[in-house]
Amino acid sequence: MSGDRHALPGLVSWYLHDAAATARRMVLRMRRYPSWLLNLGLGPILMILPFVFLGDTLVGKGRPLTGSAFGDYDYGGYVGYLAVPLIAVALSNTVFSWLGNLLRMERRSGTLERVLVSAQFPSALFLGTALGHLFYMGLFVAATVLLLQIWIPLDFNIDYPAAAAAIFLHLAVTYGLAFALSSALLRIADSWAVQLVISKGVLALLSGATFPIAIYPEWLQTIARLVPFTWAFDLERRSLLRAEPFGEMAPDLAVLAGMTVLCWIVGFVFLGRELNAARRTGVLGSF
Amino acid sequence: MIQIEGLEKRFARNVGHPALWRRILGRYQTVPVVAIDGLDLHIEQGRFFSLLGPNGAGKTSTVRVLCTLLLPDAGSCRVAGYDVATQPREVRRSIGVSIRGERSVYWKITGRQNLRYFAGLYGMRGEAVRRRIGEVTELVGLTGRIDDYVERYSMGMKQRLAIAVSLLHRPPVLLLDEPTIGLDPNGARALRSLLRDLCRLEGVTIFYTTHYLHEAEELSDRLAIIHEGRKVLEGSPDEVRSALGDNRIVEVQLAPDADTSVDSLRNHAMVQRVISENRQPTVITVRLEMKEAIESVVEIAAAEGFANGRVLGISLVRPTLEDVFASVTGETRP
Repeated sequence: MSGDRHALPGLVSWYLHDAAATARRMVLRMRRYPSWLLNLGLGPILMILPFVFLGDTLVGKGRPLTGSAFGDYDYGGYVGYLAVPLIAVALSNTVFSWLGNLLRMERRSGTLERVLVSAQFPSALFLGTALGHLFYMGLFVAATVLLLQIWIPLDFNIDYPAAAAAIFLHLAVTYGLAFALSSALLRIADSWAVQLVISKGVLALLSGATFPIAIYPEWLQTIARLVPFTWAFDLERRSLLRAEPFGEMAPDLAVLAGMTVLCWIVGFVFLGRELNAARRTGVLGSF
Repeated sequence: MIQIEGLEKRFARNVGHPALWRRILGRYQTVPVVAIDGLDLHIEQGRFFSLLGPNGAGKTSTVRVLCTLLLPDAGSCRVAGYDVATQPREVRRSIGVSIRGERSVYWKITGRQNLRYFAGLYGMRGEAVRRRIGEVTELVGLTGRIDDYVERYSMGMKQRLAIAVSLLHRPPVLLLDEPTIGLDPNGARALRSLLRDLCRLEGVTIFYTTHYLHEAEELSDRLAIIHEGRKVLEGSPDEVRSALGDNRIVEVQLAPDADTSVDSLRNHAMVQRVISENRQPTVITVRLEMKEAIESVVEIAAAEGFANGRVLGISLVRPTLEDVFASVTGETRP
């Protein structure tokens, strides 16, 4: 039997292959959960619509509260300011719950150990799951576009290369941060819930999702600048609503790219460390 | 092909349920639990090896060490020439594993999609995947159902799919942790036949743990019994059976209302232990291990008070693997 074994690919190629195989399996599997797909499609609308209409009523164009704190940003009123981060929070909701739950879901289904003894690179499971999840982001984007274009009158003024770069980095950093937190919190049961609190309650607030960080005290602004979402939101607003050109945004895009890489590296390091600890202590089955 | 030398594995079990902050800071009490205690095994290529032992003896921990899911605390473990602690990737490429049986495959996708996924993880690509899926599907007898969702399979079919997954990349070593649990007799027999063929015809080395002693007896070239993490016996099935010596197992048939006689047998000075007690409407059959070898049933029958009741028959019988298992582990039934 061993004499007829297949030729083995190189390590990088194998890593990408592990990730691609996992992404494909994820896509096939999630196709069987129509309620999840429906939830994903309706997510932005159900979660954001009330906030946006409330914001539009109070501080939209020509509304009583326009001009004070938000007018300086020239984002076409508070609605424009609010739409990008709130949609992003809805996005991170699904990303964080998926990656945060990944190993636990595998354990519950009984497949965790089988996968860990089959895959050459356990971290490729996270990358593959992120890619598979991204496949369904089309639904999310479609719902978001519907929300923005039909129901909410936003004045888009887009620089397409800059917007594409900002959105790509925003997705990459969201998955990266979810991976890093998932790995760091692996020992904590229900760590995905902790992640949701961190992502929605702490990071979203700190990053100026609902009001500019300029209103924070200096020390809090410094902390806010360490949060990747702060940069992502700002870059998306500038590229989508003010058509700021790619060249002017390049330094800030580079900062966000650096943060993205850092998040993924932290994820790899923590996952390797935690899996090794689990192999020593025998708690692998407790994830 | 598999070399285990002085393998030790201990776990720390929490005392009570420590609060979250204690767990995060590592400030909680634990007690050490010995899972494997100085285990030595040497399994040659192409052999069928069974590891037997009662619950908690360390069988599954041993399989987990061999398949790189656990790191040994001491000792060394080599599979197909690779060290499980320092060369886990090479080990994983060389082994097929069945742990958790039917639950180790994805139920929400089809059998073929499962096989394609795991083939991808094993680094297989292109036409080779399609061809190999056809081969293993036929080997495990799932050809007609391979495109059905796994959730619609019977337990035996899921178990066979799990075996098919472990065979995909033609591993020279198969590690199987109680693969026939939950299978009906026909399914278990078919699986045993498949494994026997893999070992005899294709030269696959099989490391097999089971609670079913008849399986180990039927399949194994060699077997070992472990108890509380230590190896207590190893050899071919015949060697292990003979470890108990001749003339030490006695089977006594008693009348169905002879309860006091069963008790008197259990407490008799000549009896080491009661191996099994089988109650039927017309007869109670008690299997006994004697403290020493005896010459003949006449000696037993003559022993004063041996069967102070209604003895229907006494016979000396050849030890089975179950008798040996009960003797070395102190368990009446595995």
